[in-house]
Amino acid sequence: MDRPRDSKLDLRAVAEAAAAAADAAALRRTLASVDLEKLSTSDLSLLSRALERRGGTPDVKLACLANFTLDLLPRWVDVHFAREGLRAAHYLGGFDQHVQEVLGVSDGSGLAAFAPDLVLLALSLRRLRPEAMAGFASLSPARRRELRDDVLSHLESWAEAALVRLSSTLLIANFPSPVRPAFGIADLNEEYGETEFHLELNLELLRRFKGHPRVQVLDADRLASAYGKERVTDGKLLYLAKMDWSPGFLGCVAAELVRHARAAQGRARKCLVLDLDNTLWGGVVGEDGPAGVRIGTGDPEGEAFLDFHHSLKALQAQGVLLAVCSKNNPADVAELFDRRPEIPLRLSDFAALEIGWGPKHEGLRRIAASLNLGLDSLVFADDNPAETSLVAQMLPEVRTVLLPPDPADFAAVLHRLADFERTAVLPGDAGKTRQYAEERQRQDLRAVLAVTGDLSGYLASLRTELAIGRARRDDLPRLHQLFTKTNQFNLTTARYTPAALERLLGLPVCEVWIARARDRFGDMGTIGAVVLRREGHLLLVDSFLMSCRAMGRGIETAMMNHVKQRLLDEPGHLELGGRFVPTARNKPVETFYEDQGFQVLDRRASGETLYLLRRGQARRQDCGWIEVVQDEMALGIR
Amino acid sequence: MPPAAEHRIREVMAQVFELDPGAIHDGFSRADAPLWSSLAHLQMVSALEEAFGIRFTMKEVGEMERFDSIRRLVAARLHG
Repeated sequence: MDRPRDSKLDLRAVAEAAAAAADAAALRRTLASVDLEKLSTSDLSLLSRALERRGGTPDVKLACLANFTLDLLPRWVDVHFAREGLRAAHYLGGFDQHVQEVLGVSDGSGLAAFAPDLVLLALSLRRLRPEAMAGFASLSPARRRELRDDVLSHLESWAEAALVRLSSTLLIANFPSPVRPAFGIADLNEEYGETEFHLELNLELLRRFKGHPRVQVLDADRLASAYGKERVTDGKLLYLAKMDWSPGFLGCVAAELVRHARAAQGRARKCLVLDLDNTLWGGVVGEDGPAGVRIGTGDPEGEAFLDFHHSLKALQAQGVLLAVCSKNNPADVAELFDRRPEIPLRLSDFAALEIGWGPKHEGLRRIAASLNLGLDSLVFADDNPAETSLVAQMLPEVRTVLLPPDPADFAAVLHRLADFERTAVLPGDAGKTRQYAEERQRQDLRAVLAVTGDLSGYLASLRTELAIGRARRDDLPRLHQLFTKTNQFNLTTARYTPAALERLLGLPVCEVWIARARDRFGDMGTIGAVVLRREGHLLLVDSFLMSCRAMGRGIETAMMNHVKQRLLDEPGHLELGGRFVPTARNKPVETFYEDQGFQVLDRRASGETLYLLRRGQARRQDCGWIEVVQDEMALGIR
Repeated sequence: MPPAAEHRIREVMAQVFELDPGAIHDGFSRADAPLWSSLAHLQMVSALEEAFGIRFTMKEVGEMERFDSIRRLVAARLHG
């Protein structure tokens, strides 16, 4: 299992294998064994060159703008992104040209043409305001506060200009507070000393952009603390190459960029599947018995497992589903949870349970199916290398995590995973497990009713209420989440960025509708969205998507009825146009437009189909078991 | 300088400039390595510092233009 000590030859082999890896999953596996935190400069150079040879279409277009030398950052980004199976295209702004790049006045500025998904702005205060920073100790407190406001307004006007001219997400680095402030330990007693200055600058930066749909703060101060602030700047490289961030620290920044890129693209995985014995507690319940397994205070291992549970609960609160896949007797596990009420995670915390003696890859398949998730939404963690390697082999889409030998290190492993990163935790996310539990109850009820064959009775018994309203700016985060996450019930699978959605909201020829639902079992939250676009005499359904949780109960019909009503409400001779673009995942909606009474206008070789519904043929279809409310307040959701 | 250390220098340089270690002869200089940019130069310096656990001065970095001068500077650091 361990890599040979002589990592030199080994790394050449890894680089060759990486260059030749057939696909993203193979690349991810090839690089899984490389400890990027310990990569030497020459190894980085070897590996990044090998990745350069790979080529391929980029997943993320990243622009880096700075007032210091960042030329090594793309190398690090290539390596860190490759380990996640991603590829980045790079744009490196001219030295100290971050304003000109955005305003497009610097010679041959190609930033707008590059059309980045993500723009990093990293500024060094000593280069931004050289005199003030060099003479900080002799500035009056009032002047220091002015300096703070001056830096903040510089960043704000930069962001304003960038937001207007680019459709990218902006990533603004904050400022590592100094390790050796000018006044030494007296700095904290100084009136607005260097430490206070940095703390407030970073705090204000955070407050000004918090919750912004397209601006994120890159917490360089936290990264610097983790890396070791003494090593963030290498004096020699600072003076020789204006490299304010040392090559090693750039590796840290690149690792963080992976997280931001994944989150901005909504690529977060959705469910963490856990083993039980020696993963959620110490020992084996089948051998040690319910009282013998170690979890809880009073025992070092038990306390580590306790903390691991708390980390998992924190993950759950961000909307990540937890599930169990374990080789055990279900009765033993049930007894354990029954007799040990002090265990933080309860059986009801798991959205799916696969406890038995079958192979784990089969259990994982069943978990994915029962949660209506793709295998690429799962992360599987186990302490047994035989299990993780078999799963990795059988289900390459699943991210497998081999837990370290000591439970003391479990929580840290969890925190290092970039798979669950998202830019913001939305109000509905904490209730994800509850929503899935409610969904199980619905399915149970459906199973009972299936025996009696009374589907309409089942649908009526759900007492579904639907609220459809125009999307507002506040809805952008959830709207973006729907557009990035919805694969099955998605007619065109247009993956709009936050910026594109924001633009659609403001376009007079566009209407963005958003649907929220609840039923007798609970609030389902925002489950659907429709984008309509006026094109001459056509009202075109640009996007029509619905969360998989809401499928199979006629909500889509109620939503389409609403669209038809929009057609009928318009004066003149408007017609309704629809478009279906097939993907690997949206087969369930292949005949949606036909089912809703549309006629096929054109079917292309690619499978893309255009539909038309004339005004005279627009008929609402029955879905009387759904109560549609116009006033969203009536649902009590907002 | 022990042969192992000399071999290590060639290996590091070969890796940074993407060459075969055998290509790095005594008189090997900037002109012989197409990838020897100013950025690659600093990468080579960092890589040598990491490999030998030494630190060069800014002045020395400016003198590291040929294999034999690099070998001399590494040897001076190791035995100086």
